[in-house]
Amino acid sequence: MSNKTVDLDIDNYERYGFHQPEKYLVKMDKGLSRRVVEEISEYKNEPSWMRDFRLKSLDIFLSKPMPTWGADLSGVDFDNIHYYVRPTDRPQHNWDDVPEDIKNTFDKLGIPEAEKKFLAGVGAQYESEMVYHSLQKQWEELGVIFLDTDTGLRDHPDIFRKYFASIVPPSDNKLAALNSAVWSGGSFIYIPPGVHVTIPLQAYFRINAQNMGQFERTLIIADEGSNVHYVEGCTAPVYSSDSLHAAVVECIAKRGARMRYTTIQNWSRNVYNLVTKRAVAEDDAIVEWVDCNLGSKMTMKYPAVFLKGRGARTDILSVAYAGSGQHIEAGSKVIHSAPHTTSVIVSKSISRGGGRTSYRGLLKILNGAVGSKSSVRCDALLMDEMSRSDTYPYIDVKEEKVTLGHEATVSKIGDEQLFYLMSRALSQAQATALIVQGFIEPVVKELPMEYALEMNRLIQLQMEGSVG
Amino acid sequence: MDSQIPALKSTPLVSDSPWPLEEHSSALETALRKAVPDRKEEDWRFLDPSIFPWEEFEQAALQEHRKFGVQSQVESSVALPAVDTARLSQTLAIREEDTDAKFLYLHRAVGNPVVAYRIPGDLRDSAIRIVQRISGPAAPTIVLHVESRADIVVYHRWETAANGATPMIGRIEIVLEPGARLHFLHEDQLSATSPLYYRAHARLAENAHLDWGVFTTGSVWHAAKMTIDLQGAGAESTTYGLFCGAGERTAEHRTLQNHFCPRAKSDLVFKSLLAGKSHSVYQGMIRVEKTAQRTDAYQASRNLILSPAAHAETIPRLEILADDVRCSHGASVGTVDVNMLFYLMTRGLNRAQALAMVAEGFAEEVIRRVPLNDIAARWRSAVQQTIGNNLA
Repeated sequence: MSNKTVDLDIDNYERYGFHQPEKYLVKMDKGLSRRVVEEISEYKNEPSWMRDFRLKSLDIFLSKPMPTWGADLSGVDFDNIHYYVRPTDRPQHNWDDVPEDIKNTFDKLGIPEAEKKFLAGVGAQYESEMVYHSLQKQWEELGVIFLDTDTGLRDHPDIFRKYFASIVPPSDNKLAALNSAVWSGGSFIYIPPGVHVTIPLQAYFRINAQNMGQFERTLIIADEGSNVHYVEGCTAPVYSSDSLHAAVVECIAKRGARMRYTTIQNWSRNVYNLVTKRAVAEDDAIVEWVDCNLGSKMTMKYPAVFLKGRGARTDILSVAYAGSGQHIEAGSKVIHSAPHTTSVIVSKSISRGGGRTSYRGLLKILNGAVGSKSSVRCDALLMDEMSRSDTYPYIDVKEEKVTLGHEATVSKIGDEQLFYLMSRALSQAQATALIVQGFIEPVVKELPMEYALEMNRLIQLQMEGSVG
Repeated sequence: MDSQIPALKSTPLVSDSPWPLEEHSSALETALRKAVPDRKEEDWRFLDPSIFPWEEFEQAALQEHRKFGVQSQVESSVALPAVDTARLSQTLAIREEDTDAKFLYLHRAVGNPVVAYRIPGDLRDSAIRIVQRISGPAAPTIVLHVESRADIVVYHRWETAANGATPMIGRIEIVLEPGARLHFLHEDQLSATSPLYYRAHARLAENAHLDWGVFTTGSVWHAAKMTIDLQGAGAESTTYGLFCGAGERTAEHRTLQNHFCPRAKSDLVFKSLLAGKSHSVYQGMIRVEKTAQRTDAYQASRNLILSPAAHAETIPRLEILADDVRCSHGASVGTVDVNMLFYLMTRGLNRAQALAMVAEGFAEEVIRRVPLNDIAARWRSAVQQTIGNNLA
């Protein structure tokens, strides 16, 4: 069985692990210093407050110890990373202007077709900066801003400065500080009051340079009563040495707004994926995180929601898959700080071929959050005896009038279920894949259609050769 | 089991420490060298270890160790043989790297008394009661070595002799030989101002069966670490616990269900009833090693909050390395369900009565498992008192 597992991974790499020869206009030396940070800021021609912010963040980064409470991060070498790489001169809005080799990569991912069909906007991040950006006219007319973050800073300095780093300050954690010092790219989205964006806004992220860290910074503001769905998908080519992805995502859902943030993460198996994602929900706002983690060597990602307005609600749905050599720590953090707030967390994880998945959650109900409700459900599937699954939910309740339930199960695929399907003439592999698909269905059904298809296909691919 | 059978033998027992004097002084040296557990340690994130009166304890250990009073009273229908010293040292060995090593070395340094019984295999359908009255900083130890085929109930309680603060570090070690059965009931009732740390550890050989009931009422600062090692195939353990919190009491219960062998079963439910400004921390872990296929493990943490100032924290954890297993856990925190209250009030109960009934029912799920009627009654009245005070 172990032989087959290795074969499978190679197949997968061939299928998704293509990469293009490197060609860049600017590529800074490896390693991090004051000079590198100053150069990034200077190169981007940023206002002085941003430059000062970056330098202050660098000091915080250097002063903080590496977190040791979760996955093993000893393999991250901060001196062996390019902190800024810029492939082409400026963000472009026309597909024809995008350089040929970069376009090839996107073609393989199917972006132009997807856009032609029904996508509202495509922000494709190639390396550290947006190279391609388009937004359908109708949204622009409604006042929707959907830009890469660098352009957002330049064109909308007022909104930008008001919200930037207001949810995730640089002092939050070491990696957020790193991101704050060297951030580049990411999405900047503003939805005006009452506007409903009915088609998902999409950004396709991709990294393609050896030892290159991606430090994108995403800022989403959904103003009162608006409605938005943002989708990011990540696939990355395979490299021999370790890469780092340390993103920061900040979301603000104002009164009555509804926001959904969907991620499909399929980094190559040498990437450390350490992401700080956080949202604030004001009165009656709804924030939904849909998070699928398939790739990377190590992921530590805990989408967080601060329910600070009365009646706010959050749903967090996540799927984690860990194959051979992977450790995926996906979790969630919810802080109920206002009355009648609700949180629903569903986490599904699959470990196979020696992989390890962990759920690490924090659920905090503060005094005064009367009538809050929370339900957490974590299910783990273990595919073989080499794999491992952990659950670490922290629950802290300081309020009397609340309802809170947490349930978790860990099991393997039931023999009876397999027997039933095989008696219906499915092979063991088909039956296994079907059961796994059913297992993650509650999350996958929330994805946009083309992502749901891709997700099922990826899972099927991972499951091939998992038996016999 | 009928608790009315009069005990045939009542032995007031103040045993000496089994350790030579050098052992005490070397343990004290190690204890003084060890740092107070750091709050950055995962185990100590929730309870502040600096609250424990370290200095008072160290001073006590510096003096003649036999001076400290723990009065033990044992009721048993037969005379029980002692555990031999070699086995005792093995059972009570301390791991240098233990997070709580300072507590354990300090315990060894004070080191008395040790109540260590061997329960012979022919002892069946019998109950043993051990009550230890604590005065002054004390470090009692209970060791129960249950031989194959034995089937007994042991009730054990720590209580403060007179009013006042009696800081205490305790140890409980239970060893079950293949096929042995033990129902162990443990109660902490130190005075409300006493800090208490104890370590309890049960080891189960194949097909051994342990029922373990825990009831915590006293202590202003209470830290318990309970470990169940399922070392033999087919071993089974059931643990049920209740923390009855009132006043400013803070109690942390850490449980570890450690599965090393195939086909073992462990079931655990821990409940907290929280009145006043009490604070409960429950940290549970089910750990299933690769060698423990066909494990069936369950863990539940239930918290009923009766007062707006009470605080519950619960961290039920799983670490699973084997695949053919059934492991799950559940946790809940909440106040009394208004629908239940409404139902009872439509039946003519007033609000206070209805609240008390729901809360008592919550505790009853634990108490009804107690096989000794007098002990069940004792626990029940403690629960009623807590609820009554809270409503008053």
